[in-house]
Amino acid sequence: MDYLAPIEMSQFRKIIATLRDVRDVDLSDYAVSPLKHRFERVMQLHGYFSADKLVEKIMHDDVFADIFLKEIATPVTEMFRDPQMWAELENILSRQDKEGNLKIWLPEVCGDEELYSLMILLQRTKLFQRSVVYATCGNQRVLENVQRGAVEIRKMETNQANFKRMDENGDLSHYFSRVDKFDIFSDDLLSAVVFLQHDLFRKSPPDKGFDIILFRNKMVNYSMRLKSLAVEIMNDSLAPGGFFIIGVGETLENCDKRKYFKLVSRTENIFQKISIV
Amino acid sequence: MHIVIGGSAGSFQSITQILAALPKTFPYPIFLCLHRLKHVRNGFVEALSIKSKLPVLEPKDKQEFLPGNVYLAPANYHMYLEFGNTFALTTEEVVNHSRPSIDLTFMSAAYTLKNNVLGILLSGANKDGALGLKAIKDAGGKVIVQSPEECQVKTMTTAAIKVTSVDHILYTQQIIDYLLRLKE
Repeated sequence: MDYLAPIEMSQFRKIIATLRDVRDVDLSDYAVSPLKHRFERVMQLHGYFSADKLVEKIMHDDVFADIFLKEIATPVTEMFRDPQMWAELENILSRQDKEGNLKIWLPEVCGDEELYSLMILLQRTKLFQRSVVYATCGNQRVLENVQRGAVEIRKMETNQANFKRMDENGDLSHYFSRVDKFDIFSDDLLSAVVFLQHDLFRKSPPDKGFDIILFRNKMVNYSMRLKSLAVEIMNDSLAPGGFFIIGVGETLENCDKRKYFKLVSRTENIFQKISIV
Repeated sequence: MHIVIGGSAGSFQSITQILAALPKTFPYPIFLCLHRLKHVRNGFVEALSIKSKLPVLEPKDKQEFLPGNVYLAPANYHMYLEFGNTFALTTEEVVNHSRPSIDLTFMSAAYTLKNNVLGILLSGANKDGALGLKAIKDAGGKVIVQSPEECQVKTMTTAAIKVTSVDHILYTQQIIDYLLRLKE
């Protein structure tokens, strides 16, 4: 990593204000240190070593602003990250009622990893045909990227290793085909996904009564206040008994809606919505 | 004062020596960012706890940090120190081939805590932590590297010495003595 001169707090706030006022993207309630690092990283990638120059570009260059917003979105970076979680999710899916549709939501999708992993599980558990999966994100460019289904070949070794930890007989190549420097995810599996541009905090959820909401390592980007709000939205969107899955490094403690969830897997942070009478 | 310690290959012994030597009344929080296997979630805290008189914990995202505890960056997350004395954990791409990255922990400590930071860099096989240590120094904090002569692998500490003027180059026992004097 080359030396990244840290941007001053005043500059950080200026970038936030510009994104809000000019691009209608409000990041003011996000965790500061990680977001600042994302800004600095993108600045370095594009050779903008002054926050003022970056602000100017965001204000006047629509294409750059779009790219910038895509690049500051925090990726999950690996398919089947935390293989044990995916094994437990597969068990949950296998126990699902055989009648009726299964509704699943992945909010704030900013990379392909969680979605593709889920679709593979749905096929393995023969739930693919009767599942409705919503993948939503506020950034259209990010969504289009995920829809393309292209995973860089250099990432597939890690993805395959994770998958084999979940299932030692598993082979991701069944779900991909190689084109140039990319492995392209099965079009059949992706075709079942409803991709929606959606601002989590400004719009109503895409549906209600979800059976599963997969929301791992997204709330790490938020302030505590925004996280609590997000948990409330998720709780309201879930069907009774629906599963809410967050990152293993996260917690629902200090969230107002914590008492509406039962912890069903302590190690993998899988919760289930309960009704409080 | 906040003490941030980074290490990789060859640092485990120094860490356990340091933790064994600090009394349970040690008044400052200690943050450990140690390169570790991403799939091994259990066992590391337990191994560090064996001789430590201070509680060793893996924080959750947004958890508050408190004096007198030792916090270990969880596997496969970057660990930032955030405003409001809390942690921010992220799943971003690796930095210096590492997640957790010492640079990110150190840089966030420098940014949020300014000169109220002591950074210590131990043995390791890559350059992760060198620029983070520089950030701590530039923010007015103090920085120590383990003597390369004592390091099992001296790449990390040597890299740090090249990019910033460290306050002290010390053997593990001297680091312990320094920390104990800090307490007084």
